[in-house]
Amino acid sequence: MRAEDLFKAMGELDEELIARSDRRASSGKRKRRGQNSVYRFAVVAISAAAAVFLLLMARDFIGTRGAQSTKSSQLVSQEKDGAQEDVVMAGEAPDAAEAAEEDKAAGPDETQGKNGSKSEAVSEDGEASEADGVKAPTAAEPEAAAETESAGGNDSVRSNAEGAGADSKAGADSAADAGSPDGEKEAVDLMGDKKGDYISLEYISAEDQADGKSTTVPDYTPEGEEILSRAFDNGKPVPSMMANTGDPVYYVFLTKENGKVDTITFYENSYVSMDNYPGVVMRISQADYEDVMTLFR
Amino acid sequence: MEDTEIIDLYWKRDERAIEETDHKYGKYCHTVAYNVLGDHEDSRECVNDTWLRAWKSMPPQRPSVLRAFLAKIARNLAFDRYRARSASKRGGGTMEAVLDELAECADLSGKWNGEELYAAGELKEAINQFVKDLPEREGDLFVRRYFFAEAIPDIAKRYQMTENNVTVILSRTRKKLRNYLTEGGFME
Repeated sequence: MRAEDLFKAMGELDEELIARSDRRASSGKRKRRGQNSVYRFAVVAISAAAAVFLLLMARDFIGTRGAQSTKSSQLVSQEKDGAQEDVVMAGEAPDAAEAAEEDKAAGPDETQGKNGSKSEAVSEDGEASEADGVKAPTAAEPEAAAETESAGGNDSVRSNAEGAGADSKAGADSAADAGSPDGEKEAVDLMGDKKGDYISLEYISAEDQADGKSTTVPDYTPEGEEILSRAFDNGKPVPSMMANTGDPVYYVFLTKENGKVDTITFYENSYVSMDNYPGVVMRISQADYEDVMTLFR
Repeated sequence: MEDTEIIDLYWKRDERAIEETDHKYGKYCHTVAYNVLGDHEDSRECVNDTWLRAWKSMPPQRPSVLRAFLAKIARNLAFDRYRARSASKRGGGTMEAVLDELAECADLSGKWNGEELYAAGELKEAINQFVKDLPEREGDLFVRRYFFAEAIPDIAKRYQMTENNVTVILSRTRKKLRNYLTEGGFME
């Protein structure tokens, strides 16, 4: 008997036996397919999760870097302003500095009393303030300024100077508003902490630009400054690839002393892009965005 | 179409029976033939011969499992074709390995005439009984290897086993078969 005979004899196996083997083989195959599907699904799910994690990491990284850059430029600006104020306080408004020191040393009641006198002094000088286009300080502002004087904030020092007396106020204002020789606030001051980097600010709507119209210089208002400052403070950096910006609505051109122009673009979906931060856009709240749009209209 | 309906078509001598069979089992029978022959062209011809053989077999036969019935025809025709082909040239491949393995269970003395045993139906009865008595997993592996002539890696994948494990189980089963055939008086 040869192997071929044996193999041939195997060919006469009972059909039931063959069918049973086939059925088990098929069910094993189905089971394996099911397991493969689960495995594939798991791989896809894990890959997707990893991709999302990496994207979020990248977004955080870019956001942090953008925020650090903004913060460091703010710090530089604040230090510069603080230094200017120190000079002014030492040279032109010693009374203001002394008053601030006294405020700091005094108890809360005494401070409140002094604040009251400051408010009076300011309101007596209300006409001059309006003529200068300077925001009339509230009673709370000098108090806050006294508490945060060491931070060297521009506004706080200015408020102290104002609060110290009507005589020294004009000089303090002119010193605080560096870049405006006559002491008047300019459009560029709308940039708040970043104003030290620029000498002029102009804007134009995308529509007007398409029509070939020229840019406009916005009027400075304290409200405008507050709106812009708030909008930029509350903005969240987002990688531009993840943003649905929509079309540009307004362009704002900021000119540096060396003539270089930085452009800020406001988009229709509350996004803002800046030349300084390529690949990153800032998402500002809808309310802030509406307020900013009001400034330009 | 259900198998019973296809069988009815054969019994009615309706030629659509072959179309339906080809549609439902063409690929399957091709795989069975290809395992033995290792050649697509030969396997296609073998499948066509299978339909012809099925047409001649039904009636009078009415298979209980059409799929297995067709697999048997395809496999046996493929093996006949393989033997005719290998008379002129012998190559490697799965079929050679299968026959080499089965040679362990064969009586090489030539004392027993396999053709006669086969014709008498004794050998196939003995093999059927042997496979029936095997444990489920061993029986399945044995059928996949020595009926369907599947390659070891394919069997291992099908049953989620290692190739080595499959080889070892098949080796043990062959030893059992040899003992079984010896005890049954088919070999010395």
